[in-house]
Amino acid sequence: MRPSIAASMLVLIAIGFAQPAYASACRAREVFVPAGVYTPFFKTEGGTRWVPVAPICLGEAPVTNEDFLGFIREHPDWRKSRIKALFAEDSYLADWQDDFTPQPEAVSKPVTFVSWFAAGAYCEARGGRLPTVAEWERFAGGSVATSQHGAAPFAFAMGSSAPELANTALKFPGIWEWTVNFNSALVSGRIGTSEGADSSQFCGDGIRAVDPSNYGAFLRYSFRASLRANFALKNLGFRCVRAVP
Amino acid sequence: MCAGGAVKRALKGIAIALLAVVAMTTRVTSEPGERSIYQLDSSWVEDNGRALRLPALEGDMQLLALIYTTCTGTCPVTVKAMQMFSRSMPDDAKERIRFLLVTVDPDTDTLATLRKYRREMKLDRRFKLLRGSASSVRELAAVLGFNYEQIESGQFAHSNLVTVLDSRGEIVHQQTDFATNSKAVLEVIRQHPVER
Repeated sequence: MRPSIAASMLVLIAIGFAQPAYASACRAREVFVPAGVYTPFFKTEGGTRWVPVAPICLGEAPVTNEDFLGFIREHPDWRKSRIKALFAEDSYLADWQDDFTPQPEAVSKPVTFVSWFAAGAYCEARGGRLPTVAEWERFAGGSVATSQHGAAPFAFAMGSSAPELANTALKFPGIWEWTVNFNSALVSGRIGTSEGADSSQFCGDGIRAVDPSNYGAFLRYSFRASLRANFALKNLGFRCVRAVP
Repeated sequence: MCAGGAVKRALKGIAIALLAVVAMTTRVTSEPGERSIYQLDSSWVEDNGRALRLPALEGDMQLLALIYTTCTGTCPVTVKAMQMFSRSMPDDAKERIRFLLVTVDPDTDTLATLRKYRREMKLDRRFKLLRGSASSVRELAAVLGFNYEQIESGQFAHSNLVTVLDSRGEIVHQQTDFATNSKAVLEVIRQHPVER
């Protein structure tokens, strides 16, 4: 190879690294979400915050029963007959008939009754992870009028595409979704063991909602705060994200 | 500042309503040890540099709190309360329990910082100070039901939750007002004989 060609190839490679991440880097059934900014729902005493969010490849829809079955076949520890109570409560995959049989009509529907541990393990096995709250709120925090969702009672709070992703294949079928740091909201959802006065439960909050009229966000943040990592609920599923390669 | 607001109370109401639904739809049954948090496959380092995996804690009960050393709110109050508790408790309870402080801010709380904290807070050898990766801390907190978030550089909003683990690592008691009421913890310790 002549030195000039080698040099120009090096330049091309360098340009390649310097380029911003492109949508083409994402796989099938993924949507490219460009870098952006997340505005946390709660202001602090320092005022409204803006958190930069890196670009990601995002699952266009929540993981389905069929997808999850594939994972279960490869990873026997996550079968419902074998799962430990620490990692998922008894309702884990409650709607499956046995270890390998989801409801026939729900095969291509989102898997629910999955714990945070199971969801995280699935994503890791597929080379990804659960989205952070910041990522989720950024791609799904678009506000939609309650009236647009007739059937699912909390559908307006369960996400809809951010305006800039409106023309993508991104889908929100009206379920709650796990986030990797679901336990970051400053809300107490714990009952039974919280014997103290309200004011003794938290420190460092002084919280105020950025937009107090955003009822959907109130619901999401308090729902997340009420979860435990082994909860497996009827309306709670997940999708995965990957760093843009 | 630790003042609660109307917003927080409203949110708590919603959360309780949602949880009530959860409670009605789930059962709780499990084999002994199946709920032990020592099943978490995370790696930790003590302030003295020694590596630690959670199963190494088996045998003693543990009083566990998540803290960070630059906390100016309730963490020092909680830690002081744990320390006073450890010194004042009757001998029969004293030998059954150890104390675990886990930092939620591993970036700032290096081992050297934790060692300095141990000196400043005058923590004796029954206290372990642990540092782990951000994801290990997030996982441990998720299992405990401890919520926390970094709100601005150096400060966190966080639960004031302390947890008692039995000698196998199962959660047997949690409360958010330990600093002003440690009686319940003493009761729990007495009710759970240590199995060695």
